[in-house]
Amino acid sequence: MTAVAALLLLLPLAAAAVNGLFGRALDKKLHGRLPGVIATAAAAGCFVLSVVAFFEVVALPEEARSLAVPLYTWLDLGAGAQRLALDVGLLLDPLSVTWALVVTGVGSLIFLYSIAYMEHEEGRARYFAYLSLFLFSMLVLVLGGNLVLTFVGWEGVGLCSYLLIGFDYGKLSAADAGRKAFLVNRIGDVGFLIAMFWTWSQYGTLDHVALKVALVGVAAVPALLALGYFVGATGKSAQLPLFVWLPDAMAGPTPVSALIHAATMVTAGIYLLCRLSPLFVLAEGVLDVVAWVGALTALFSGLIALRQRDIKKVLAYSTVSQLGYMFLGCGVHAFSSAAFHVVTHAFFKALLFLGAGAVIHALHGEQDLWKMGGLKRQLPKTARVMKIGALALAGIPPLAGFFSKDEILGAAFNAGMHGHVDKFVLWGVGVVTAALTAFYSARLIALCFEGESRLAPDEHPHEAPAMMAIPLQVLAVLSVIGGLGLGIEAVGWMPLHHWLAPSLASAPDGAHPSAFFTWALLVLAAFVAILFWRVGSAWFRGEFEAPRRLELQFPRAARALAGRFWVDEIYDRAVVRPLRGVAELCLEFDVRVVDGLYNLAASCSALLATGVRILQNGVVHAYAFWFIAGAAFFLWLASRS
Amino acid sequence: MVPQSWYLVLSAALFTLGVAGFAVRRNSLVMFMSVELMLNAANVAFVACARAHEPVRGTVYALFVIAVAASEVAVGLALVLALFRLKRTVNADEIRELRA
Repeated sequence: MTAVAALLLLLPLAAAAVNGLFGRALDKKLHGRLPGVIATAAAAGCFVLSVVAFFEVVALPEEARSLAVPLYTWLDLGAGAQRLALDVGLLLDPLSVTWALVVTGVGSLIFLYSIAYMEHEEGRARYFAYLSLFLFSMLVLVLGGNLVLTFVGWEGVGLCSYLLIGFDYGKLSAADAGRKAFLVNRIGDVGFLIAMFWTWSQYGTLDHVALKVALVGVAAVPALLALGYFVGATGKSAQLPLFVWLPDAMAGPTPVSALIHAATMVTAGIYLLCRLSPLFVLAEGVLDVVAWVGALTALFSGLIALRQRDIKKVLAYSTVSQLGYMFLGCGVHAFSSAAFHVVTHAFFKALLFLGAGAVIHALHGEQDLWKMGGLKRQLPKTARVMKIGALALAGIPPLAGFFSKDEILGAAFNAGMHGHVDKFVLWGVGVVTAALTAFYSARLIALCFEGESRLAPDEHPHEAPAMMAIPLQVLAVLSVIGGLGLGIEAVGWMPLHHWLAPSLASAPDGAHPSAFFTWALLVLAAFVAILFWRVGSAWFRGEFEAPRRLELQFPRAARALAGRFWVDEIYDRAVVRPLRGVAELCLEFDVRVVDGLYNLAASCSALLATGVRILQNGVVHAYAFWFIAGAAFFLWLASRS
Repeated sequence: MVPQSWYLVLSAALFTLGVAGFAVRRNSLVMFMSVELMLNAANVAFVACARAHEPVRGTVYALFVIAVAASEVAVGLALVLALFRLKRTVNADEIRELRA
């Protein structure tokens, strides 16, 4: 097991090192595909190893499915109660293995797609080095046996995200977007760090397993402690109020958006909530905050997604919205449902992003939905898989998104039934968001593939090469069967939940919903999704009459949506500019006061020097004169005594 | 027998000549010769004192000075030559490289 665990980390790290160190030499080999082939082989190897790990864990009895694999001792400080011993080691349990399977599985497909997508770009070796480093960091994050290792991976994926958003660093907007992502994530990380210090001083351990043991019998966890982790999670998973970086992160190459900013890294916050679920359920009121933040984020970004023109921005806001759903799920104790949605979302959102990448690729970089239209005639295969992805996102039965989303909504409704009346509001927000999701998904497909062509006249789009098409088709199949295969609550088929149960905090007593409500909610969700899909589809297929009328009727609302509620502008006024003012003040102080002191000292000695300087005029006879005069003076001194 | 003081007067006169020559003349070769004059003034004083007081030590000093003067001439003349090649002059007034 140790070998599997070590290899799981070393393979992507080695691929990153090879591409990073010898990229210049490798870049031209195999028609420029060698860096991608190396990285993809490492990723596929990781997937195989994850499957091996999966079977190792499955082979264990259900209650003992937690395999700690220490690799080596990292540090061992202090003694007694103050002792801090940290191993570099992996924890293989249902939760971490599930995430590892998603990360490496979806990851491998995206790596494969990237080979073709990046074929004509500069810096392929650099790209694949970053991508492999990302895979390594993500595996450290999810498989790390203690919070510190998780944090190391957390920072590692943050770094890779920054590097890949700013991959096209010559473009100012891309470099800015990378910096923004990095800085906003730092805010969340401060919460994570403080919570980690606090956890250690309170419970004396940072090990995932030991922490779970230490929490047994604890009556309550300080709310602020749990909130610290939650702040970390909101940063990484782009929740209110820290979601602003994710839409900008779309400046990175499209496969990066698919891998990091949709399928894997942004779900790290949900992973953290699930991993620390024993802690969160003991913190009074914190899960309510989680649920509310999640629901509001889902609604808010769902609204913004309605009127975006950029195909990737629509998908980005929809990602934020779906992540909100997952937080909502965690907030109503449905941790396994949240994890379920993470898995299905990884399938269909990766599919949508890769499909969008194929469209952008075919249109030579065009991302504006208003300059697409009618593409299903030129790109029939891409149109078909994109439609599957959008239907899954919209929650149309029986595709993947339907079951996972419905479970989260069911859990919220159920919490309302059991005395937490405010949860009904959350459920309502969730249903409204589901309607919005169906609507903007349909709009995206209609604008991109249906109706009249609005392409530039000299544009002749062509289907993506096979290397891009195969990952799309695999993901499309997964988007269709992912939900059916992993859990249908209404008929009691819930393999993923049973599998995950040992890793997660158990739901409170009496939390099992009645069959009637489960079915009723299922039908309602299906009805809402189909209805709004049809509306969205009909509105954006033809002449855009209905949306135009609505826009004229509610001009302010329309402007607010198109302007993304001016959140970036508000942050600019409230945070960025005041901070910049402070920075300018500091600069002024530095230039005038600090530098001034040094300059003053320098000018003083310069002034002194000018007096002496005139003596050194380069005339040998002047030197001789002073020399003789000096000698005479000392001679005179000597003769006096 | 010439009294010792005469030698010392000669030495002082030679030295003063050397100093004056070094301070007044502009030709670096002549200035060089003035330096030699000062060194030899010192040699005269050394040898005169050696005869009066301690024959061995004073004479050895004079020999040392001659050796140093010889090597100094080797370096100094080479410098003057190099300067002449560079500047086409040996006039010390026209060579003002050593200044702040």
